[in-house]
Amino acid sequence: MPLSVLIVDDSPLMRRFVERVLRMSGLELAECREATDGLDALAKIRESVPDIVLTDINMPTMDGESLIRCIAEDGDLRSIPVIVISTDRTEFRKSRLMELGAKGYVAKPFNPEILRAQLERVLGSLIDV
Amino acid sequence: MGVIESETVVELIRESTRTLFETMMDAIPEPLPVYRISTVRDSHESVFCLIGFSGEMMGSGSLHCSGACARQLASALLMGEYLEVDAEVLDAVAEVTNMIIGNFKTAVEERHGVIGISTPTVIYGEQYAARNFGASDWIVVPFRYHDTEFDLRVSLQPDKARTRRTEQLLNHREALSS
Repeated sequence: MPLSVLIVDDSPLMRRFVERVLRMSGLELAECREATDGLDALAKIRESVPDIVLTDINMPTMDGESLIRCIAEDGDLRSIPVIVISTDRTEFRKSRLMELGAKGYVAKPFNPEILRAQLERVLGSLIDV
Repeated sequence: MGVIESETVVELIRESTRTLFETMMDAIPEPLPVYRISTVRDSHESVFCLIGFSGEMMGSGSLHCSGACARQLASALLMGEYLEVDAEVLDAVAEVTNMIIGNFKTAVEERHGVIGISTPTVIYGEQYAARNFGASDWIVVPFRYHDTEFDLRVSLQPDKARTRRTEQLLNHREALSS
């Protein structure tokens, strides 16, 4: 099934980069939407629910941690898997975000193989292999 | 928390740079001899991206390169061709710096305690100077990348005022409990 993805990052460059890596990974994409922070992401998720959310952590207005918490606490949204993409490799940070509800963690730098492996692990049978 | 050795800084910066270029870019840069400076002076078109450290250790990490090198870094990261140093090229340099310095910070934290980093500030132009406040120099870790060069500059010292405040607090608590 072609995937619907929401990329959340305050950097337009990183949003573009993540989309490019997604396309290079060989996954079939139905749509790839973008949000500039957590608040923007919540609005876009409520417009149309994506199969997966890929989010940065350090963003203005609403950061990635608050976004994960909002999704986890909302009965209508909590089934949407969230994968964090961050420069922060510390185990403490990773564990905290996974406890809050993130389903995967991709540390920068990353390449198409690394991202695809995380998506396959999190989405399983939703992905056309 | 102790002083971090220069050799450790160099080793961690080279490792972090190699990991980034191996994973995301088109070629692995060649490490060049390391040196120290206290002031950046540039009379040619160049890009200087600075990230601050705070917490148990304080200072800054930065990437410095020519405009031509900045365009090459952006081209490799975004697989496009850049004929001038525009906002996208500067964002690419900021992202490259953020990943190298961010991973360096994580490695330092394992030995020296929690360190926070600021968002990157990018300066682009000619005829500018940047100085490191205080006594410490930048350790400059240069690389050759294709036909250009870039370098990472790190200045990192224990936050003595923070350590002193913690000691005072502990002494105060001890006095209260005795």
